[in-house]
Amino acid sequence: MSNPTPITPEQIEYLCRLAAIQLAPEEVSKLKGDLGRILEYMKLLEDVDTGGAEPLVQPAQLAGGLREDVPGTGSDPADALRGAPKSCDGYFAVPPVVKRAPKSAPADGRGGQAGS
Amino acid sequence: MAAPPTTIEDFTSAIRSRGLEIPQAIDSSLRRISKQDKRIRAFLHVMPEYAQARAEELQKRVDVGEWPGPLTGVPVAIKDNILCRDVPATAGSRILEGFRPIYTATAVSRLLDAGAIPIGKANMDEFGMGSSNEFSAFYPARNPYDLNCVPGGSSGGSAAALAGGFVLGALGSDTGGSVRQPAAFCGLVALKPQYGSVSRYGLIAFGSSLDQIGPMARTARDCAVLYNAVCGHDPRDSNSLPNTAPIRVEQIDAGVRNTRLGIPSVWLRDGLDPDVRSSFKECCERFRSIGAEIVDVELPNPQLSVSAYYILANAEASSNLARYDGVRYGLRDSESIDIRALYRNTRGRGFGPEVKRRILLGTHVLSAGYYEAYYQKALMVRRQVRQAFDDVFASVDAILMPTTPTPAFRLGEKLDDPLSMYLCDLFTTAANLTGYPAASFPIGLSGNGLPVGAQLCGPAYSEGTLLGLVHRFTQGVPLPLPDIANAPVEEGKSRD
Repeated sequence: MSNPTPITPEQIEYLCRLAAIQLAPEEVSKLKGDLGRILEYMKLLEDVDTGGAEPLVQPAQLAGGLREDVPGTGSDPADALRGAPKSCDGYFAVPPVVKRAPKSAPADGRGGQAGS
Repeated sequence: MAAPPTTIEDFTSAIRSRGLEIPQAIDSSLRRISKQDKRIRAFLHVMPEYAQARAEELQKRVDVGEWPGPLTGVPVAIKDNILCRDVPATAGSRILEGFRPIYTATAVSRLLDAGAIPIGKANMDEFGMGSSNEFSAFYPARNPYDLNCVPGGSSGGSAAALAGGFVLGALGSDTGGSVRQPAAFCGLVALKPQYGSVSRYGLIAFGSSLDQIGPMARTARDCAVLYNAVCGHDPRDSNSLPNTAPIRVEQIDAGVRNTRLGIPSVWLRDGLDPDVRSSFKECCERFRSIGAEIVDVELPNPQLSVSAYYILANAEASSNLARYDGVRYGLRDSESIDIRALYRNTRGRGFGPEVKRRILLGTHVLSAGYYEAYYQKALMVRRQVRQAFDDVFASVDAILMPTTPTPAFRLGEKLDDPLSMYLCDLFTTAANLTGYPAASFPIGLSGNGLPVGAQLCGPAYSEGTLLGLVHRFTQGVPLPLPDIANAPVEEGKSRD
């Protein structure tokens, strides 16, 4: 079998940023190997002559699929908040969105109580 | 005392004729689960009080001459990625630990309307990503035919619950083979319906253009009853087909004579387990003996379907699983000090290794610079695969092949090699790419007593034809259930 497609740790960190997933260092090294081998297998598709084939996004191929723009009853907001890890005044509460952690904060952004 | 019914048909007949009472039948299922499921681990969550209350209520209606529906009193398992309001749903993942849905899936509502009794939520590979149930974040499930082997996945718990004799019907979900492969490993009949014929409302999404809820049972007729209960247009699923019709009895009872079946012999030349090869040869002989004509057909290399499938499924999954962010439900990393850290740490800690692999692969194939080479290309291959199947269906009624290259493998055997796990789906992914229906059914046992399954793939709306062929082949006789009470378990390379 040919050598796995090389994937660098920098590429993995880039994908982790896009996908918002924090990996431990040992996970990164295992992933390097796994992703490389899987991507190598997918190179099978490179040699396929797809000519002018129209992409097939999904099999149902229904036109429209939108409902009438008529108000209806949605979920009860209290229901929607029931499972919230933290909520406040009818909102989902999260740690700071705009204000970023200080440069002195740990690399994984953990170490405090979640802000509200 | 009569032996307990082994099929939905026998069960509902017994209830109707008053030879069996629903509360007693449900108690018997629950007792069996409580004694034996610790060895099988088919369930993540069992609902005894709910099931017993519903059993009493349904029996009262039967007592006054009502017949609530075709599944009255039938104990069923629901895969844990299908939502039931207020019942814990994890999709096999720690990121949804503690989550209680605020609505019920259309498929489940329809089963309830038909009188069925959900007994529990079935174990599964996390978010549907796996072929062995070993990627359940909680514990693996075991194959009732050999407790040292996997039941298949991702609907492994649903399959194990049926083969363990805990339930008479189950709902699973199939994105790349996840209903058919466990059915083959566990000796069951299962159907991946035409895409759009069963509503996905309330199914936790993995690959939205590929996912379908599928019925699993011990016979073709049972499978058809389950399918009929759940199929049909649902305005809450924007890809729900407007004209799905239930399977008619005449389709199940139709003869096999003059049916033409195509076999892609080139696919089967290499790589088949010897027991699968010999069972499949006997299967073809049997179809000929009951009147089918068997011809050779040409289909694209199945490895192309697997590659295209894994690119598309992972791309769609990277988008669908973005919602698990610790904000609105499920796990939240309580020590993260800003929102980006919250997302990264919740997801890093909450997702298992296979899920992370697939999300990152999906992110990669959608990213700038790779989108055309991988994602776009896979969509074009998808079109070509469907065209190839359309060309073949112009001259055959259905395509026949083994469901999987091997019978069930041992726990731990494929954990270190993700690619070898993906190749379990070699024969199943094409039907998800095309959207066309496919059914798996038992054709025998291997030398080690493990079930072997074959698969029939048909054109759009051919569910009735496929299950009719299965019914004729099996003569409606289910594979005998294994004796799990006395089955040996080895210490070994498994995660629990």
